[in-house]
Amino acid sequence: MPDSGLDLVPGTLELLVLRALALRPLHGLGISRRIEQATAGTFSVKPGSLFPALHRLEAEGYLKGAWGESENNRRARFYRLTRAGERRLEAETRRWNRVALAIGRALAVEP
Amino acid sequence: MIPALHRLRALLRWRRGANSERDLDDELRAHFELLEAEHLAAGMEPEQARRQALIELGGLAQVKESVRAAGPGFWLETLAQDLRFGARLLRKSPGFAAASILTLALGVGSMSTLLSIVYGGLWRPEVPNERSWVAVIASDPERNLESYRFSAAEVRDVLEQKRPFAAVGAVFGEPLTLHAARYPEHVPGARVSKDVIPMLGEQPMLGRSFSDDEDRPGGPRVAILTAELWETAFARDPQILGKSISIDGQDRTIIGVMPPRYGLWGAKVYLPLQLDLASPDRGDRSVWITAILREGVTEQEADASLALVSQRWREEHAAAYPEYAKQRLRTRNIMRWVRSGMTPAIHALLGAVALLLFICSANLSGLLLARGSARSRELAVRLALGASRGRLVRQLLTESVLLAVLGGGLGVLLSLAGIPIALSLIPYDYVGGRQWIRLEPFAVAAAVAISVLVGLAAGLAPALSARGDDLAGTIKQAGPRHRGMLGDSARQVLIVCEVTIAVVLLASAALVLRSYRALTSLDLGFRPERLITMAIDLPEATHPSPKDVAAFHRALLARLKGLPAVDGAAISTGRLMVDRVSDRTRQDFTVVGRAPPAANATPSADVSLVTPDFFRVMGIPLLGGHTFSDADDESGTAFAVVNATLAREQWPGADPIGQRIRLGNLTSSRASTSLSQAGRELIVIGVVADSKQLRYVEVPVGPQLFLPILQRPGLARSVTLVLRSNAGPARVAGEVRSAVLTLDPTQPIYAISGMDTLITDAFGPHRLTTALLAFFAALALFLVVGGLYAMLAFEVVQRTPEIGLRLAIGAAPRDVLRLFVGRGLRLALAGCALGTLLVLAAAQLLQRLLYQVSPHDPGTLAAILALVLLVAVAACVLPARRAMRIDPMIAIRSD
Repeated sequence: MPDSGLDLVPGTLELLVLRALALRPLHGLGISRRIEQATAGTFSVKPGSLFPALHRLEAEGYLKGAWGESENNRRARFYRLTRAGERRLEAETRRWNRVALAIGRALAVEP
Repeated sequence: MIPALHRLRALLRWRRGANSERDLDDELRAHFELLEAEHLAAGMEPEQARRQALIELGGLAQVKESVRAAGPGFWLETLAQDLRFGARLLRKSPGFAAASILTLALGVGSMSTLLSIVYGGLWRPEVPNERSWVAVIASDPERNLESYRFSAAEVRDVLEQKRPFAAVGAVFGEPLTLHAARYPEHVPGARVSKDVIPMLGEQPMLGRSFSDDEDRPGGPRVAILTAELWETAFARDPQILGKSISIDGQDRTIIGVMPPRYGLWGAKVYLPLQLDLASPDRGDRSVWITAILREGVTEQEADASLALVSQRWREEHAAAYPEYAKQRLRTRNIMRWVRSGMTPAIHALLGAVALLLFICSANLSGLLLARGSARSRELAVRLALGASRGRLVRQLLTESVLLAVLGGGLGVLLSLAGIPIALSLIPYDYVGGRQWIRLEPFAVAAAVAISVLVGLAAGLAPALSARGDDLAGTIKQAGPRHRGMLGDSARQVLIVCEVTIAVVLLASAALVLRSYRALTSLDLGFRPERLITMAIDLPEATHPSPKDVAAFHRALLARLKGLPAVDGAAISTGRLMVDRVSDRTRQDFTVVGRAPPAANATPSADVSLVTPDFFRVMGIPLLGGHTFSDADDESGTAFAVVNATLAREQWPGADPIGQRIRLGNLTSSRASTSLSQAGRELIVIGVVADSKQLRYVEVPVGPQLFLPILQRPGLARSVTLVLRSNAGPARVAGEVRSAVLTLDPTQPIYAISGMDTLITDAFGPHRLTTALLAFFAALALFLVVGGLYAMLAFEVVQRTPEIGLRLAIGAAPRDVLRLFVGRGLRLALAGCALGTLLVLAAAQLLQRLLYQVSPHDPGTLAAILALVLLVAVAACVLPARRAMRIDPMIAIRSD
């Protein structure tokens, strides 16, 4: 799932998608834009990676999709976090923070 | 098949529910429109906005495919795809498909057939607690005697052994006459003590088993039927309990019916034994002792307890019963004993089938490897185009498993047809419960598991050896001609293994065949042609005294000799070609006028009571002296005829005629008797040639003692009639039956059989082994031919351009022929050498199957090697000739 300048660490796409949906339900493009915005353009997620991830997360019960109206009155499929999704986001965030901290420390140590 | 797969896929889509294909389309379309709107809002031209949105979406089909691949049912779809692809490939190369499916089917078919028969006939537990079910035997190792029959007093002593045994019972098998229908009918019966039926954990399905009261001497007359007899003679009468039937002329009340399949001791009717345990007589030995070991007690521990019993007998009774001196009581597991006769043959056959299955696997692997290297270009292209190795492996595996399942399925069908054929080779009573032999699910499972494993193993090699990194090289090497090193050498090793195994199987089969011929051409010591035998048992109820028995026999023979179809008629107490060793009457004897031998050297002989005509009717040559006359009855001098072996052992180099012998104790007897006439003196009046009388023709003839039946008619209630006649057994039986019925309208005859049939049955187990081994060996040879042919034919195709080049630059076609035949022959020679070594190494194992044939027999081995090499050359010549005829111009241009 490499996209722009940086390769995504495996598993991070799911974390980013869950995080993007933490505030409110979004459609696919909305999620994509939210991730770009949140990472200041470091990651841009293309449909070829995004939709498989969305469908997998939905099949696993972390997301729930429903048809709705977009801001400019177009039909779109909106995803929202389920209870399980919220828990997963929390857990993944904690895990990620630990990993990031550890990696950061490791890199900071002078050889 | 294809529509079914579509349905399956539709089902999967439906199960994905909200994420159905249509929904995904809508969602992606909406996404595209949102992108487009975004670009429009940013001020792009409509045309440009549309194009930009399309680019960013990145190909609708790819996105959809990756969503599908992430879905839960994706692997099933892939499987369906692979199966479709595999089936298409198989249809495209029918030769390969037919060869591999047939190869597998033969292997799986043979294996599941044999496993089913072995399991159903020999391995399936006959009774729930057969592991602890034992018989007590008295063995005298020094005289190599084993006796299975005991007297009431001896039974009582074993019954007192509470420590090793959870239950002890006594059994006495006996033919009975049942008057249920209009005709008297013979049924095998068993008199059993009260514990015999319950000790094996089985209970009557109707009624109950015998009570203590019914088992005491003089107790009520009752009977228990098997389900089989209940069905055939009583039409499954539900009110059977309490009814009265006539058995041996006595009315008995039916108190129980055993469940189906129960038929222990070969009986159809069970009567209480009513043994008088208070009897002090130790010499009247007629009953078997059977017991169940207490839980946790080993056979050795039980034997140790029994050793104390035999020691006490020795100390207290050896004076009156000298056989106690060296006798030792021990247990023997009954089912292991019953099956032991068949065990070496079964092991040999299982080994043969395993080898055959190995050949099948090798052939299949060879075929798949050949195909794999032929497909290396296809695989390389697909790897280069981005297929993952895992995906490739999965596809090839699916193809192999598809083959394995088709072959396995066909194999199961083959064994459904093969089981009745194999069973027809086994004599009727040899395999217990043959009616229960069927295709066993576990045998099918084992065979299919093996075929799937073979498929997996053989299918993996090409997928692993396919190289995607060197696409250019693989394709440049002109595809089919690229020879993967792995494929090539592996196939050669497989061929050598196949030839090795074929040599082993063929040599074993040839040796066993020669042994079978040696057995069947064995001199039986009598002339079996036109002999007909039948059995007749005179119940005490209708013929109470020995005099009645003698009178009946006399009258019957007089009538039979008057029949025009009968050339001669005689009676013997031995069941000719039916008796096993344990069925025979064995009696000790001593030579009068000679110092009494040490207790462990007392001679004993197989005793038959016969009518004077017996030797003439049977065609047993009289070697000296004369035989009995009709005047030799109980009142006269006691005479004996001995066989050549007894004469040689007792009077080597001297004339036995006129010698006297004194009878000792009966060591084994089928008839319940106190008429052993121990101590009586007999004058030897004749010597006859040795004759085989036992069912096991390979057992050497021991000392035989023939006594005139009229002198001991009490021992002759159960006899065999022997007739020599030009008419068939059925017609003769009809005439004999009417003669018998005129003498006694309640008397049945049974076990009517031509001597030739009995002899064929006696060879049954050998015939089965021989036939199956020969079949497996032929199959192995056939498979090896197929394997060699396929390998060389494939190589010829692979190397066509190279051969063309050789021919073009001046090689003679004969050189090409020599090249390929030489190649095949080298592998065959290697296999022959290895096979010979294996046969020589396995000689010890083979020896157990052979009779009068050496496992090292050089002639047989040489013939087999010649056959294998000849067949190998033939298999090589066909493809080699094809190579010889290659047109160099076409061959070189073909690429």
